[in-house]
Amino acid sequence: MVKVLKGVILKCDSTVKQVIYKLNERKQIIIEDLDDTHLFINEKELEEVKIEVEKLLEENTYKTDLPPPSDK
Amino acid sequence: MPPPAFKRRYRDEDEYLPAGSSRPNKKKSKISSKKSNSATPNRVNSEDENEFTKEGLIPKSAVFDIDSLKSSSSVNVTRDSVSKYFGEDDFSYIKLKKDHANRPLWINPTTGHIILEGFSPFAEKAQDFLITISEPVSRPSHIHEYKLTPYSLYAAVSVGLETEAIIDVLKILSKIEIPDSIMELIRTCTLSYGKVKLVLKHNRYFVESSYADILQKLLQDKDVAEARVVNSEGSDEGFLRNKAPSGKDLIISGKKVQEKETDTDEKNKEPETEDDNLFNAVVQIDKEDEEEEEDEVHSFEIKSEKFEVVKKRCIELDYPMLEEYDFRNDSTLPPLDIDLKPITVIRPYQEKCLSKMFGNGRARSGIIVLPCGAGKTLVGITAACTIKKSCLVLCTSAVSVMQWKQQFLTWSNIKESQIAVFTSDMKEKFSGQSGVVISTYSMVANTRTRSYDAGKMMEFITGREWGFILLDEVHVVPANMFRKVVTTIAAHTKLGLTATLVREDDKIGDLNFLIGPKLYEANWMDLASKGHIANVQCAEVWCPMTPEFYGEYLKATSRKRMLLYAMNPNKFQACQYLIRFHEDRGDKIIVFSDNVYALEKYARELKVPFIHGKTKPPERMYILSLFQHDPKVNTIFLSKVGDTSIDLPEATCLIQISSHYGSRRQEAQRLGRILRAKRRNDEGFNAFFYSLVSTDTQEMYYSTKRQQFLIDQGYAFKVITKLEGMDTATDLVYRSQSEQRSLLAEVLLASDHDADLDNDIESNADDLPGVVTSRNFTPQQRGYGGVKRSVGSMKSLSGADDMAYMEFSSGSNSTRTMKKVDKKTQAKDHHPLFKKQWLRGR
Repeated sequence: MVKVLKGVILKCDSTVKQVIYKLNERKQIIIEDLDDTHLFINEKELEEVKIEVEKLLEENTYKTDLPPPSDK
Repeated sequence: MPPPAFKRRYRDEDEYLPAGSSRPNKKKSKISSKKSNSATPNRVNSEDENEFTKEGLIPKSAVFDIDSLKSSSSVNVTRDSVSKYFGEDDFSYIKLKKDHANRPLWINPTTGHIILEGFSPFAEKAQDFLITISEPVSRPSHIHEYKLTPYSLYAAVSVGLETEAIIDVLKILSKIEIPDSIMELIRTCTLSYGKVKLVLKHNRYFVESSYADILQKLLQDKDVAEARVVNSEGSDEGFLRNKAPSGKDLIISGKKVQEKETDTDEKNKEPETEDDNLFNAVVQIDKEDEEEEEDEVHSFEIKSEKFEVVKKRCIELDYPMLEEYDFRNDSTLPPLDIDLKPITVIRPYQEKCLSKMFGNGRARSGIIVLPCGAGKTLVGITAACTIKKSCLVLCTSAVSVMQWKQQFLTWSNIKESQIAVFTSDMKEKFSGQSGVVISTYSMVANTRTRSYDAGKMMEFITGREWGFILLDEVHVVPANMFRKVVTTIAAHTKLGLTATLVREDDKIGDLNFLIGPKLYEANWMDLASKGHIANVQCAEVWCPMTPEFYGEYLKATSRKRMLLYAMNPNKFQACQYLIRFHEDRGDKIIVFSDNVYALEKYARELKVPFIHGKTKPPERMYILSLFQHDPKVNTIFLSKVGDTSIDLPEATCLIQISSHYGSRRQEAQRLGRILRAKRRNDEGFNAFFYSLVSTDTQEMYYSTKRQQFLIDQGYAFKVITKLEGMDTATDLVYRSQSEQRSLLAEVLLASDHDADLDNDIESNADDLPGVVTSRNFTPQQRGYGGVKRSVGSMKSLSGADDMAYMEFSSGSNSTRTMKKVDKKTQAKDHHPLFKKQWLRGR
């Protein structure tokens, strides 16, 4: 029986790749590790990956009490 | 009346504005409005448009908003297509004066922020004035931001400015009419502050004021009345409350101001050129300051043992007293024969500080803020030379005690026998009637049992009166220790010196009341452009984590994480590359690492000498002298021992590979290492300050936070994402993957202990908590997840930041909710005197 998985090729830098690997420990996300900057991941998990990565990057960002002025 | 639908829509749009976005927007609006105003007629058109709006010709884009009309009390606010971007901070209704282009500043009617055009021809004069009456918030090169706060106005009054004078000068400088709200702020704040002085002359305490009615008011108070020395009748302390208020109660002493006391003050006083209206106005303030003294001054004497009570009581009564010391008329304290050496020349800004301090011929207590390397020590010494009485200097560590002594001997003609040092190792007394004692805060504030010698020494210190007490690095000393020092030692004048009035914890307390108001704060950029401190190029170098390191980083505990991002091979390479690059340019380089493990590893790998807490003093001296004199040794590695106490004027380049979390003070202090670079006066000379940061790690967060203080001082940090030529550079360390892996393995094997920042330096009995060298620098900062961090700076304590204690947490709290909490706690913690103002100011 053939099992079909829909996947997405993700281009990312090496650190984000590590983050995804971390997530992969909990849940099957990565289908194939292509090279240093490319991953083939399960499409269903795409949104979660986005959220997690965003969260991590947010964590390391310093915010002053005044956010930068909106672009105008 | 616009159709409700419209109104609704615009309100909604306002609500979409992010919570804290008001300030930058406002700033922008001002800047942009200014530009278009002075340069093009565009703006005029838009104002005309607004006029039409009022007359009923409503352009599609402009909608009259009743809500904002209500909120900004009877001001006609017209809204146009861009109003929604400004929200509450739409000040287009404010009319500019006709000749506004010549005037350098705006005032925000709701928050009291003052925006100054740094490029205006009058900016320099305006700056002097603004520094006196307001707190500098941010001072980059072109547009400066200041804020009027009750504290700052208090300070202004204390250096002798009068309410009307402040308003007059503001009127002259401002592009707009002074808003009523600001007028009111100034009036209410200056009404009671600084009207009463506690003067010490002929060794008696006098409560002095030029307003007799205020003294009467004070005498109504029981405590004050009790403390009063009654001359004529017998002391019926019981019912002094009803004492008849008549002229004979008050000793009226109209006294003339004598000329400036020392030649050092005198010789640098240049006659002001009065070539312009504006200048006149500013200069006039100084004159008024002196004239004020010639007015009649009313005073009554209080018992010296009661002065503490009276002081406290006056604060409660909303009439805080300024302490002044009439040192020239003090005959009982033996004079100290001390003067600056003839070759010693003080710089203009140092003279400015001192003129604030000795403005009316008496010595005021207060705080002077100068950048590292700008000669704080000399300011202190000059002040001591001016007062010419016994002087006590308190600093933070035994090392700086010795440095102070050295500086005293270098700059002044004091004899060595007159300087005594009091540390845990040395207990000296000066010979003769008067002298200088240099000690540390903890030696003096120590309450535990002391050795016999130390006890004797303390008796010596507490047993006499001091004309002057100098408090070095005043920001590191917690309030309770200060209180102890201030109460145990009888000193007539207190002067606090500091470079960075910021603390990462909240212990700064009401420094204003313990010492006095901030007398002067220098502008870093200004000093740099005049060549007093070096020009520094700041850069943040981003070093990507290698995949292996990052993988481990994600798994590691917070402490291990620190080690991982410090040891990142890419950082290693960047460091090596930068060292090589700058050595080739002929720079002398200091590399800072808080992490001792990383420090040793880097230094050994790169074959460079290093110093950390466990390096023995002789070895230290040897390494330092190598660095200073040996042309082959151009780089040294320092742990945080080098943050303050090591003075290396040779250094011109600084690389930071690991640092103490987000300590802004450390960043500023490290920068201070290269500000005094010897070569700073060479043409086109730049010092370099690199901060190596591993991307995608906590370090990014800390790094940005650390920079805030310097950014407010006008420094710009360039971000370097890729060092040019690093890829092609040969023989850099850890090139191959296998090498990187072995490094990683090594790092993982390193114990948690190695990752600890605090194991570096044996805490010294003399060092204070809060000093970088002490063990418990910031114990609460350990760990990441539950870290609670609060920041207090003089600026924010005084309300210049809209909040006194900011809390930074990595949690999901939005800044908005935090603000609310802060506001509440702030109102509670604030000194009762300022509580009212604080709440009103919001």
